[in-house]
Amino acid sequence: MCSRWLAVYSLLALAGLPLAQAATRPRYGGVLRVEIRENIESVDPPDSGTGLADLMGAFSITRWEAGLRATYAADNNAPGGRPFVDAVEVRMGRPLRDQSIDLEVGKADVIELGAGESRRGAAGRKIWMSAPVRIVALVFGPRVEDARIREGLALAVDRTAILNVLLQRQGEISGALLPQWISGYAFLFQPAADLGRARTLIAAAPPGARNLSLGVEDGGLRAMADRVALNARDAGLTVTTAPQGNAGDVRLVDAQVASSDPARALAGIAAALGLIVPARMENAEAVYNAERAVLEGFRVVPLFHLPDVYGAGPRVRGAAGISPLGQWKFGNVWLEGDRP
Amino acid sequence: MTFRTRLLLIFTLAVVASVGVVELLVQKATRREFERMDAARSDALVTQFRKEFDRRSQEVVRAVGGIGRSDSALNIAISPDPTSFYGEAGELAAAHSLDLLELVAGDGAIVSSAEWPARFGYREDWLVEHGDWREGQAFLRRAELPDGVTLALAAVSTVTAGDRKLFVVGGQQLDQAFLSSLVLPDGMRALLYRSLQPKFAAEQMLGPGPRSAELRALVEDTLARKRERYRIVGRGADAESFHALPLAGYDGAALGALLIGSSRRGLAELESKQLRYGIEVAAFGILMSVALGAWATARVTRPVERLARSATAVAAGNWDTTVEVTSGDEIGRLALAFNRMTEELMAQRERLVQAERVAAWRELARRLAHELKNPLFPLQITVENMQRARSQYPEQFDEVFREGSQTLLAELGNLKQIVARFSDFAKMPAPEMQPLDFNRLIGETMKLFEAQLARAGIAAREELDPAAPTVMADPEQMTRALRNLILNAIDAMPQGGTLTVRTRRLGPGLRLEVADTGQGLTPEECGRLFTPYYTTKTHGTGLGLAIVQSVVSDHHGRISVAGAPGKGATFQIDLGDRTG
Amino acid sequence: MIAAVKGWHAVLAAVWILVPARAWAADDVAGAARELAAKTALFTGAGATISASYRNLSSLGPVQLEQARAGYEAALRQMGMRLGDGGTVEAQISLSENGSQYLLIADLRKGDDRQVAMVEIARWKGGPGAKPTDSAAWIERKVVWEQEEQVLDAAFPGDAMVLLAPSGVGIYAKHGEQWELRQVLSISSSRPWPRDLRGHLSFQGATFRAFLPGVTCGGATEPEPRMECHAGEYPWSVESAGGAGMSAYFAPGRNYFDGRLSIENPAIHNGPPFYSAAATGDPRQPVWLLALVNGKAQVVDGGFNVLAEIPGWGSDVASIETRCGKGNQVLATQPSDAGDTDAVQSYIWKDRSMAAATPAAIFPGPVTALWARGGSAVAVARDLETGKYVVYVLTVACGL
Repeated sequence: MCSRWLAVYSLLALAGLPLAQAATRPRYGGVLRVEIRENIESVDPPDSGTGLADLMGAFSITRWEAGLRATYAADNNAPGGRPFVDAVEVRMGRPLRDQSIDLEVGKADVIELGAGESRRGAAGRKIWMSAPVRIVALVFGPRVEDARIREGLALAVDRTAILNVLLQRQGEISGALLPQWISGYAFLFQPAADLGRARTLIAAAPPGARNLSLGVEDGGLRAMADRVALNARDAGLTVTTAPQGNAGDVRLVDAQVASSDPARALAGIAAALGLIVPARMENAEAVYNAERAVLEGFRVVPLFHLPDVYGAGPRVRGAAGISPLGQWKFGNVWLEGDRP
Repeated sequence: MTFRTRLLLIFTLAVVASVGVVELLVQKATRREFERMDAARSDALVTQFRKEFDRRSQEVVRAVGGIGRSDSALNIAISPDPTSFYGEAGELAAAHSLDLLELVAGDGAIVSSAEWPARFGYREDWLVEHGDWREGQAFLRRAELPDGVTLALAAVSTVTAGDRKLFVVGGQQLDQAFLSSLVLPDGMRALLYRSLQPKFAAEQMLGPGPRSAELRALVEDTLARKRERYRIVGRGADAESFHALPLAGYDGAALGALLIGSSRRGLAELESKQLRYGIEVAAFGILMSVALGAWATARVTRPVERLARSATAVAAGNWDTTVEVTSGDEIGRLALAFNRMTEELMAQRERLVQAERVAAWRELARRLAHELKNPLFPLQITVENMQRARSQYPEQFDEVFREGSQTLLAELGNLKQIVARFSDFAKMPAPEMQPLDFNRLIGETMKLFEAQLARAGIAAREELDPAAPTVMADPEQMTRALRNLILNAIDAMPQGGTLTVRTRRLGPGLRLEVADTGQGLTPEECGRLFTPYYTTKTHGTGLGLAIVQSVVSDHHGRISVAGAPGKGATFQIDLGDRTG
Repeated sequence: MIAAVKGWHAVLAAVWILVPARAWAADDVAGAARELAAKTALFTGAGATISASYRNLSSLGPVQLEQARAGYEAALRQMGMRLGDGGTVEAQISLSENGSQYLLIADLRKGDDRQVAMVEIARWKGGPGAKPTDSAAWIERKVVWEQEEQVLDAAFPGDAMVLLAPSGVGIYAKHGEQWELRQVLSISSSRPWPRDLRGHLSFQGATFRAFLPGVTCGGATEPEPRMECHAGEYPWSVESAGGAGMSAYFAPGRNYFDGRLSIENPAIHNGPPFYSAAATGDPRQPVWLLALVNGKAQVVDGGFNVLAEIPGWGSDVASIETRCGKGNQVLATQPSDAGDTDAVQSYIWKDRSMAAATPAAIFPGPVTALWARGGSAVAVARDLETGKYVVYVLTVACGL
């Protein structure tokens, strides 16, 4: 079940692809054009986190226009050898729809894919999908003191419908913070969906506690937030989506797993979500106990584990350009095209 | 009310009544015509609304039908996995200018919703339960949105692919924009009420202008009866006439109401103008009628007034009053007759006065003769006795002369009394007025009569009003009058009885009553009682009550007597009452 | 949800807590099962009856799951527990894994109490090989080695196995059925190795040369392993079946031969760059198949006259001597990406074209090296699942 997530998963839409021009040996040369949604406004290029920071090492920055574009040139002295491509050009702040169009018309080589788009791959488009490295969860603020409200909302969310429709079955329902492929024990946290019990719990709470605002930090999760609000309404809660930038009584958050080591991964998730875990977790059982302690009380309600998904154009060859953790590994990517 | 005033009033009323009737008729006709025009405008607006509604319906039907026939819809219908079409409805709705669009699988589960994307998977059972949806027909329905419920004009297209079915439900909201598309003449407004909640909700009333409780009642009535209703809302210039049409959904339920309001300000202003003109005309008419009436009545009433004044003067005693004869008509003839009458009256009065004077002299002579006769006879007898004694019984002459002298002296004394009384009556002086407390006067006078009353076996009662005012009067004359009345009362109760003296406030003045429980008086006696020398007693001059009357008259008072045989008599003197 | 541990359980629990974490990891499934049983006993207490169920959530096979079950139940019985349906304790045993290890997990429930116990199991080698296909001739694969570091080439001089890796040359001796590392001769380079590093071992007797981009090493495995390396541009010796050989210059910092080669005479021919070359056909007059970097395969004769150009070839070719069919055959990889499984098929030169002689042999990942070794060929493939480089010796077998 989980073995498929243990390595990078790459899909090739082969329909219509002529076999004549392929070769297994990489080609040196070319500029890899990458597009991302995020506008990175920092003065300097990022040196941590997944994405642009991963390029450092195999590439070195030659041009940085905050919020617009960045160019990284292949480092001849890079560990593991000079990358195959000469340079990587990254365009920032491109909406998903525009990225798809650019990939279709050949203006981009690697783009981010939203949920569902991986299943609508055009001919020649490859899908690079990491292991489930993003945790989407509801995080309650201190104002929501009644545990019945928190548990009620947790029971009310129809995860299956969201996964099947909004996420296009790209990801997995999870009751745990760490995905199964990292912890190995995520199956012990079974998410429950019980609308009847949710109604009972919420009806027992005072009426004043049944109004919540739901903050959504990532615009890409807004559709999911709307569905959560609708599920909450069915259970007797009034959940309104807070305006962008507003924290809300409960937040729908998207946090990235930054390490394949369970203890470090849990520490990273906890830090991202504002939770506290022990500083030392020496074995899997300790990590499990720490995670279980965090999840008790329903202050955090994990919903899904999602992969990072990228689409690569027909001229992109080579191994998948992202690691299981979603890190950019463009050093081993090469471009089909003119040969020396 | 004088005749002139009455005449003026009649004229005025006639004018006002005429003007009022005309005013009423004009107003009625105006209102009828206004209502007719108002109804025509409302009908026109309703027709416009229906046309716009139909046009929108056709738009929706076309758009929904187009989507239903599209390849996209077919693909969705035949797809074994509809989950990938979550975002289709939004794009299709935008492309076909629809506010709402849902793609619903054959089992009623929403595949994609443009207006509420998060509702995928939820069921629209009403689509499945209704069964056969006819293409080309739009209807109203309530549609749920994330922030509430709305009313929409919707159509359904069914896509069938083998054993698979897809419902395409699209529509446009009935909202402010729909209302704004109606062209409204001045003074008219259109409101749209959307029945989206079980109870009336003011915020669902779309359209301009104020809303009132009456509007709410109209809406509720229209929705309850599901029939067109009409009502006038508001008062005066702010009144509006509203036609309300129910808007029904596909199942006949009333989902909303269209209200066409027409301001009645024009009618109110017109009526106000009419009223003003009417009032002005009436005022003018009144003035004219007053002027004419005054002239007319002057011609009639002045002579009558003169006649009336003259008659009053005559009644007051000025019998020599004449009236000017200014015309030869009936009024003139009446004046002539009046003058002749007064002349005759004067003559008759002269004759009467003469006669009364002769009668009074005769009465006085008679009374004098009577009064004098009584003492004179004993005088004569006494002198004759004395002569007889001198001649026949000289030895008894001294005693006879002594007795006879006493008798002569006593009778001479009576004669002198009678003469003094007559003299008193003849020369009663003018009263010397001063504020007089009658209660005190009565108290003092009654004390004087205590012994006499006791001897006569008469009980004395004083019922004196403490609020009786002081009245300007001559104390001496009043005392005399009071004494005469008391003496009269004593004389009326030879067997004893009760003498009651009362005072009572009478306006600004005073009423004095002296009542006895004696033999009473007949009406004839009541009428002649105050005639000088009239008496019911066997003794006395009969001047006592005349003196009382004279005193009262000199004090500008009134005196009257009431009584009945066997029931005593009550003398009433009113003094100081200006109205007398 | 986890019940407080009381009484003598507390003592055992203290022991449990105080024992270093690493002590709970097990090297094998059976050991893990025993440890898990000990943890279970702490929770259930002595003499309890346990209803156990098992499931496999890992990439391990049913054999391992059965090992876990047998080990767990045996250990429990030794500790005095009873096993059977309707026990007071329910134990859901799961064999799971994460990125770095396997986990044996017990989800224990006693009434309302619940406790989860885990034992970590280190990962180990393993992996099935490909099965032969039903055919007149087929490619047989034999796994000889597997390691994390990339293997550039492998040779089997005498009884030894020599592996060329980016870090150096490893010399292995056989102990029983297993190869054991005898010595590593390090190779260093002043410049970083290029991506898609390629290397080749060329043996003559016990002496060898190791070719890498920009570095050539010479050494011997006997009597004592030794090696000397020199930086510089030296032509690689590319052997082929039937004794044919080629010298070709490798582009420095790249993954292909730059086109300068010589086959029979020392004169260097300047041709198009190519990834690999293989001689086929009549051993007396072989033709050379060159896998060009433009994705085509070019067949040239000894005079470098182009005899054919064949589209749709992978970039690795190697000659192989075989008794099946006529002449030597060419093993060739299929055109695929590094993220796909790969396949190797054998071809013969016939009628001025290459015809498939065997069905394709599927590999669990891309073939990163394919070198001729006379009657066999060495193929190195990167296992997509494990990420390890697996060394295969290929031979073409047939029903003869």
